[in-house]
Amino acid sequence: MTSYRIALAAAAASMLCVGTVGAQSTASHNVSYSVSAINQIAVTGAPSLSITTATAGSAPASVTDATSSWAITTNQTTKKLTASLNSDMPSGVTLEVSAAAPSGATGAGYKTLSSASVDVVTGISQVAGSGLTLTYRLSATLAAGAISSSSKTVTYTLVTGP
Amino acid sequence: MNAKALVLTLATVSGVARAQSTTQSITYTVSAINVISVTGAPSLTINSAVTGTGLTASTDATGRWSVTSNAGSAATESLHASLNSNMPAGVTLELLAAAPTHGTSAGYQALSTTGATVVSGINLSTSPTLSLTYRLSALLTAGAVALGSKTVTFTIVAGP
Repeated sequence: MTSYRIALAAAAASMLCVGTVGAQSTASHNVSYSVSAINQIAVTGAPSLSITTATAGSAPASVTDATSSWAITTNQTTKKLTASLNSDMPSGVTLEVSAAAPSGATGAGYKTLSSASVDVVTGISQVAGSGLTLTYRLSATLAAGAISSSSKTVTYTLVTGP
Repeated sequence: MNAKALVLTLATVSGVARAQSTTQSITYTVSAINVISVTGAPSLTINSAVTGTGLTASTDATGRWSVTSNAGSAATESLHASLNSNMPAGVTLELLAAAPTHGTSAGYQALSTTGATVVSGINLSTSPTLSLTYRLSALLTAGAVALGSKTVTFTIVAGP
């Protein structure tokens, strides 16, 4: 009688272990994921331009400053970089910018800056780039006369467009 | 004469009691036990970049796994992880699974339907809460990816 009870208990324990192993050697859970639309640009530098000379008989010589750069990371397509000034330049004074383009995009060359936005780089698509040169050029007519030191804020914006 | 006969009788009864014995055969087994469980609902979103470089990877270390294995050192087990379907093009989901006392983590391993060994050399372990760290990365060309989910299946398999 006693031996019968022991054998029964051992058999039951053995069956329980086998069942547990088969049921739990695999487990799973869900992982959620997403990637946001990312459009980031940055500009570095504090450019300064002064017109100080002229070739006698000609208009004052324009000056350039290429100490600034811009950077971009976007995972979007069909983007362009626009630039604008916080206010227009004085009459007879022109400020232009030429922005180097990241891979696959196109620089528009020198574009005159004003309070209205102008496209400086087009065809930007899913790219990362840094150290992209911004070259400013300042020119003035004789009629502008002498102008004391002033500053403008240039705003760059990445917008959707060809 | 009668007294001697009585003593002899008692001695005979006592001798019979000492000689009474029996044996019993007990059958027993301990099965190979490899039990795992997983908890957590990890969620990863890529939403930033260092301007001028690629997107910043996102990590989530809220997942946990537990294991009980009585595999001896001569018969080690491995933890295998796989996805129910592959990630979108340009998007990579990796997993770093912490190892139990007797086991070795493989470090970050990219997950796919093929699966990968994330911990190897598991034996004689009872570890209740081991971390699962997921890392999501994406190429710029992947674009924006709407919220999705994958099922990660963990399996204990025989192997070094």
